[in-house]
Amino acid sequence: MKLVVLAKPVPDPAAAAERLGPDDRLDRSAAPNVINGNDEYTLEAALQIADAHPGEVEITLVAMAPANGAETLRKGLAMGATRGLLITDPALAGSDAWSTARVLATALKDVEYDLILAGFDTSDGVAGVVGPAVATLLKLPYLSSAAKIEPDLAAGTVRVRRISPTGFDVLEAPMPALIVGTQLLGTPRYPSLKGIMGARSKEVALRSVTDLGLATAGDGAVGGAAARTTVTAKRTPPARGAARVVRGPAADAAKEIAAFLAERRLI
Amino acid sequence: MPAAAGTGYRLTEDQVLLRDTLRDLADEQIAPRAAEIDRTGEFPQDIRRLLARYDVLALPFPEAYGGVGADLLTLAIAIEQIARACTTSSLILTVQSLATLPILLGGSEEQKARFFPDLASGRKLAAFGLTEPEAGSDAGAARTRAVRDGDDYVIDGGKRFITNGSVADLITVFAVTDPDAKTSRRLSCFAVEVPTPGFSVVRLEHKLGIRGSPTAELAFEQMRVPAANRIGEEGDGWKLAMATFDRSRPGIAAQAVGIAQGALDAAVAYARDRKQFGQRIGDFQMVQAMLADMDARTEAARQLTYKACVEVDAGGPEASRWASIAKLVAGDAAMSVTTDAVQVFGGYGYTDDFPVERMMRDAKITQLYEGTQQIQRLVIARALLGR
Amino acid sequence: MAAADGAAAGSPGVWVVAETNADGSLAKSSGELATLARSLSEAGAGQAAGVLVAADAGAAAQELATYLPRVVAISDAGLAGHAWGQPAAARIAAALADEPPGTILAGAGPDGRDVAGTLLAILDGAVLVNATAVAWADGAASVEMGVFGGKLITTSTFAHAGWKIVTVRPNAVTASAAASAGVVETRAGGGEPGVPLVKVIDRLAESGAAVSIDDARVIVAGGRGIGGPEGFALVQDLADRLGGAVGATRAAVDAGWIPYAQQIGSAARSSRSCRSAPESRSGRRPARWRMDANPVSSGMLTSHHNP
Repeated sequence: MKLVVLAKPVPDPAAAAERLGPDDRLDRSAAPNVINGNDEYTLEAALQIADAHPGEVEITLVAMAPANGAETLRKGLAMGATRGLLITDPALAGSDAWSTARVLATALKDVEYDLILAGFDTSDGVAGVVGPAVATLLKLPYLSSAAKIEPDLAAGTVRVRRISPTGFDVLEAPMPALIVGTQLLGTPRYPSLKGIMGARSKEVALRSVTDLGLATAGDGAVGGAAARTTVTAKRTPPARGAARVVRGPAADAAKEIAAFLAERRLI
Repeated sequence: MPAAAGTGYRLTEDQVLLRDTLRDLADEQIAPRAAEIDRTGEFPQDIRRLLARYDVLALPFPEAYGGVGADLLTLAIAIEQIARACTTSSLILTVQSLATLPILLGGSEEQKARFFPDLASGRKLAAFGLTEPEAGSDAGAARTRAVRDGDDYVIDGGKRFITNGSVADLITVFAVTDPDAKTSRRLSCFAVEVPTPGFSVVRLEHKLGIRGSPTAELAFEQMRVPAANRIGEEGDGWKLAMATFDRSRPGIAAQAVGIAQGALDAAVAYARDRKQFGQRIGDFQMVQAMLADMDARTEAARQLTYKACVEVDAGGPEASRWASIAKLVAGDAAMSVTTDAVQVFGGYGYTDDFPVERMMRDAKITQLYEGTQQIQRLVIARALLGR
Repeated sequence: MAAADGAAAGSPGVWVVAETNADGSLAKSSGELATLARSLSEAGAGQAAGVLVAADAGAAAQELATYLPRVVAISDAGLAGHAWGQPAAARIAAALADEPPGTILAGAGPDGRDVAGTLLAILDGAVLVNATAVAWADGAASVEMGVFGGKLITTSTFAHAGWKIVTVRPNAVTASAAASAGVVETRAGGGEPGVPLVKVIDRLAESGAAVSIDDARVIVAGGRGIGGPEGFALVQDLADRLGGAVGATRAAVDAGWIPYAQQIGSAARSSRSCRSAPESRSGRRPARWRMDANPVSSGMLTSHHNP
C-alpha cells in the first residue's frame, strides 16, 4: 500500500517567535521550522498502518516549502517515512491556499498512492481548506475529521471515523482517497535514534514550479505574485487577562466566582 | 539551522535532530518522573525501558552488534539532554557506556558479539567495578584478587561505590592478578555476569543526590569467572581503566552541562513568572546578572566538553588533558549554576516544590566521581609538567 | 435554471452556505452568517442570498429566509447516507453557475471548511479563513482573523475577480432576523461531484456533548484537576444552570473523561510539545493555576467568551 502524507514545515510554535515579515508574508527565519504539529498526527496514523502491515506500506512525505524544508522533513523520515518530495521554488513564497492546493495536486499527479493523508490544519496558516481542494482537483473522495483510519486493501476501501458534534460517523470510500486527520489519530511517536541515523540515506526529491509544468504569471498562475488574497493590516491583540485564582472556603469562593461572572453578564 | 553535515564547527544535522528529539523525550517523558525518582530512591526501570525503546542505550555500541555506533560527541549530546531533566536517568546511559568501554577498547570480537547485542538493546545493564574502600582515587591500590584456576579465575574481595551495581547484569571488575608487578601491570579486567555464585550486594549507599541510581557495595567470595571473560591480557587492567576514563570523563562533563542547563532553564522560567515588589524578579538587574553569568558558565562548559569529545575521539597524547579539563570545568559550572539557581528561587528554591534543590544535590557528584576535581588537576598538571 | 426575479443579474452578491443540525433545523452559525451577509449587503456588497443543501432542505430553508431576502434550497434525499461536503459543494457550485462571482460565506467548522475547500477548487476561487470579523471596504470583503494561535490579528482582502470565499468563526456576529422574510427557491439535485461518494455506514453517539462548544456563549471547562469523569457531572450541572456547554482541557480529553468534541482549543492545537516549564514535585506551578482543594473549586473554573 502506498501512502502520501502532506507534511508542512512551519515555524516552531513552541519557539513563540512566529511573525510576518515586512512583506506581510510568513517570516520563516524567525523561528526554527518543524513539521506542522497536526501533520505529525496523520504521519503517526500512516506509521501505525505500516506497523500493522510490515513490509507492505510505503510512506511518501510531500511538502511545499523553502529549500531548507528538506531538513524539516528529515524528522518525518526518522520517524519512519520512506521518502520525501519537496516542491520548492522562490516564486512560491507567499502562496495562498488556492496556489498551495494547485501545486500539491499537480505534484501528486506523478506520485503513486492509495491514500493521501493531511493534517487538520496548520499552525501558521490554519486554513484547513487545502485538503478538500486537493481532493477535488485530483477527483478523489474526501473524508475529513478522521479519528481513526482503517484501510482494507483487499476490498480497495477505507473506513474512517469522523468526529461529529455528537460522537462519530463511520464513513467508507473506495481508494484512492484523501483523508484529513485529527489529533485523535494518536500521539506522534519520537524518532528512534536508529531512525535518525538511517534518515540521512533516504531520498528527498526536489521539484520546482517549472518541473511541475506550472506558471508563476498569467492565467492560472501559482505562487506569491499570483496570490489572490493580500494582508492589508496587522495588529497585536490586547493582552489576555491573567487567570484569576479564587481561594478560600467553598462557600466564599462560590460567591466570589458568581459575582465575577454576574459582573460580566455571563450568568 | 546548522551547516551541511560533518563540516565545520557546528553540530551536524543528525546531531541537531538527535538533540531535539531527546530534549522532547526528556521533557515529556522523563522530567515528570524526576522528582518521584529522587524521592523514592528507586531505580527507574520504566525510564530504562524508555531509553531502550528509542535506541538511546544503543548509542555507545558498534552498529555490527546492534548499536548506533555514535561518536563521543553524539553520546555527550544525548547524556546532556537527559541530564537536563533527570541526572539519575542520564546515569543509565552514562554507566552503560562507561562499564562497557573496557570491552569496546580491549575486548575480543567474540566477547563483543557475546555481550554487546543485549546491552545495546537495553535488555541487560552494565556496571563498572573499579573503586574499592581503600582504593578510590588511588585505583592502583585495589586489593580484590583474581587467581587463575584451570579455565576460570577465582575472584575474592569487594568493590564500593559501584553505580547501578545492584541492577547490572554484567559488571566489568578490575582485580589484582599480579600483586608484585608495578601499579600499571597489577590489574586485570573481567566481565562478570551476574548473578553468579559468590557474588553479593552487601549494601546500598544513602546519598546526597542521584538517589534513584543505586550505588552498591559488592562482595566477591570464591567467585568463579571463566578465563574467556578476561578483557585483554593479564595486566592490561590499569591501561584499560585509564583509557576508559579518557572516554568517560567527557560524558560526566556532559552530564554536568545538562544539570546546569536544567537549572538555568528553571531559573529563567521562574524569573519570568515570579513577582516581587510589583515586578517580575527577572526585571531586577541583580537577578539578570546572575542569570547571564549562569548562561555564560553553562555555555562555556558545553563548548569545552564538545571540543574535548572531538579531541578524545581523534586520539593522541592530549586526550587525557582534554577529558580532565572538560570534567573539571563542567563539574564546577554545574555546582555553581545550580547553587545560583536555588538563589534565584529564594526560599522556594530550598524546598522540594521546585527541582533546583535536587539539581544542586545532583550536581555535587559530578565534582566527585570518575576522579575528583583534585585528580583532574593532577592529570592536567602531569600533562603540563611531564611525569 | 433561471435566477429568481429581483436577483440583481450581473451584480455580484454575498452568498451564505448554510448548514443544518442533525434534526434538520438550521445551524445556529448559519443564522449568524446570514446576518453578517445582510450587513455586508447594506454596506454595498450586492444582494444577500443563501444556499442550503440537505436531504430535506425545506424547514431550514424557511428558517434561513427569515434572515435573507433570497434562499436557494436544494433537497436531495441521497445526501442522507453520504458525507455532506463534496456533493453539497458540487450542487452549490451548480446553483451558482449562472451567478456573477461574488462573495461566499461559510462556517469555519468541519463541514464549513470541507465545503469551502471543495468550492475553492471547483470555482477556481480565492479563500480567507477563520474570520472573526468581516467588513466591506473598497468593493471587497475585508477579513479579520487571528494567526499564530491568536498572537497576531491580520486584516486581509481579495485580489481576485472570481469567487471569493470566507470561512467565518462562530459568534463573529449575533444573529438577528430580517424585517421581512425572503423568498425560497426550491431546486432538485444538479451538479454531480464527479468523484465516488463517501458513504455513511454508521453514526455513533457519545454521551455528553448536548450543547456544542462552538455554539455556546458560556463554556464551563474542567481539566484534570476535577479528578475524573465523575467530576464532569459537577461541571455539567453548572453548565446546565448557566445555559452553557461543557468544555474540557486536552488533558481531560486525553484521559478519556469526556468526548473529544468538548475540547476547548480543539484540534487547532498545533504542536505536540510545548517546551516544558520546570516540573515540581507536586505538579504545582507558582500558585496561580491552583485553587484550594474543596468540593466547589477543585477544578479550574474558566469564563470563556467565544470566539
